[in-house]
Amino acid sequence: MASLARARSRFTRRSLFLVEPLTGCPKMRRNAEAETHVEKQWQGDGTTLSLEEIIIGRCYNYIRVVNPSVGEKNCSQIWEAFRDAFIFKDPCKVLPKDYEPFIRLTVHDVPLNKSLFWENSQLLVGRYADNTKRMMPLDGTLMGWLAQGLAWCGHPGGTGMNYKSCPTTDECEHNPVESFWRIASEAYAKLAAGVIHVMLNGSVSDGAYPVNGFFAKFELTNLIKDNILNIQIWVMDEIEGPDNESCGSKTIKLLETTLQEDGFQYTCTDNYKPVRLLQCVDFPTHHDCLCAQ
Amino acid sequence: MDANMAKTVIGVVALLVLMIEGFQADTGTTKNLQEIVIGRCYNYIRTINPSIGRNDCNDIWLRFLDAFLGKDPCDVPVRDYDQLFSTVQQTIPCNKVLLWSKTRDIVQSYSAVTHRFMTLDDTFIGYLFNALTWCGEKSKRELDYNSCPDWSTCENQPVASFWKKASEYFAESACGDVTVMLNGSIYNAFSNTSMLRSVEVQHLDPRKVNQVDIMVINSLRGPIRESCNSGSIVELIQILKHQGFRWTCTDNDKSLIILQCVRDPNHPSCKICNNSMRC
Repeated sequence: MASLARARSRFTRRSLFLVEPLTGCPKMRRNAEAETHVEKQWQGDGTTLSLEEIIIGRCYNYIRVVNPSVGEKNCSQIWEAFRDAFIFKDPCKVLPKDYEPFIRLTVHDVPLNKSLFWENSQLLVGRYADNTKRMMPLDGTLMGWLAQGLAWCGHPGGTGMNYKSCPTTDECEHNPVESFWRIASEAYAKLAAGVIHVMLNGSVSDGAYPVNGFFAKFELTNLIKDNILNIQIWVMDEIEGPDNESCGSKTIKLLETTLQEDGFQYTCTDNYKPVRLLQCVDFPTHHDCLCAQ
Repeated sequence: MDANMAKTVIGVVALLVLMIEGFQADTGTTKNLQEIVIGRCYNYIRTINPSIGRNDCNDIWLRFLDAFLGKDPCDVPVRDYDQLFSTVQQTIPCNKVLLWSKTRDIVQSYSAVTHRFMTLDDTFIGYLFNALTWCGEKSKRELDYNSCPDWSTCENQPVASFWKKASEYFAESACGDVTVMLNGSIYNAFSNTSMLRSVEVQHLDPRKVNQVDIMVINSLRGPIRESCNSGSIVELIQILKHQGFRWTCTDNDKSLIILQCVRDPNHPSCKICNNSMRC
């Protein structure tokens, strides 16, 4: 679904330059909208319907069923902090720091050795993580769990929410969804401790380690070195996919060099076996999978 | 401290321990049950499966409450959930139904990894109530958050009855090819007391179901106790034959071996072919 990929903003985003929408003076626009309740037409999916019920429900589901170890949280308060970051605001003027109250209310420890960062591997990461049982990627923490797969933005008039459309990051950088994932990624990186893991896709053609991606810009830069024992890089090729990149070459080599310069201990593995096996479940007789018995 | 005082202290401590254990022994209704169920409902219809069709989340919640609220928690028979199940609208796709017994871990992993199958927990109604607990009290229109009776202590327990009804509904909805996963590493894989035997197999509809494919899974590290040719699994095959279903049975499906390998990658059955290795 377009909204899922777009909400994560990793696969569509190329330009990081702020683009001002050409809508005339903000003051005039607000008056016009107050009169006509016309919302600006953007290119991305509008706010998910029933957003409040979904977020409050996901919140209680997380603390009661998925991960009760995070303790008691006030889910109504969390919803309000999330909503107040963008409701009634111009959807091109929402900054990461607008979500600080939300982050403060939702932050919790990530267990030692369970941090999992990634680029171009969302589906595989979700399967390997196994609902926080094996690993806890950002989507497995409360803050990521609440927002994953959703779309949202506000506008100055009417109900304060725009259900018709929301800006993509190509249209403007400081949109509510992009800003959310930036600050959430930063907060997540600061929580990482012990052995941390990075899953990259060796079959993509435009860089297994994107230097302008979320991992490079908002996560790697926010790791707390003293808390990190070592970094395990896994370069996973798709089954039936090309082997475009591997450890020691091209952008992976760039990542390895960066880690070295920053003083991190690291290892790099091509097609890390447990994850490879997971990919093989759908291709049991493929020659890249189990040896014929 | 004299003997009498010591006895009193011991008595009080014992009482405290009993009280604490009493609170923990039976779990009560899951806290924030309403927010969780309604939230899951909207999450399902808006994000997980928007093509599911019209469903009213508040209506579903109210019909759910009607089944057991105000009743003795040992007096909620299966049929009290009929209204709820007729309110929930979902068409179960053919050839995808997966029934199982004593293979929870592997079935849950498999279902999370591939969308080849649909278990009861993957249906809308199963998704709404999975891993939750609930019960009421006689003559009180309130959920009981303190304690709910254990399934084993009374037959018409609200959660037990719900899952029996859900299992009936799921089996009745199955069409095309149906898959059944059984655990070949235990005795009595197809047990009399299982939901599979006592409810689901009985409710498969011969007019809708083409064939039943049995998959027997063994733990990677064994043992092999039952198989397509031995033990209780043979009884399942006889029942299917008697009800007029076509059937197949396989031991050791490769996908399921690989799935177990994810947790035990160094097991000898888990060798992967790669470029550097000739098999």
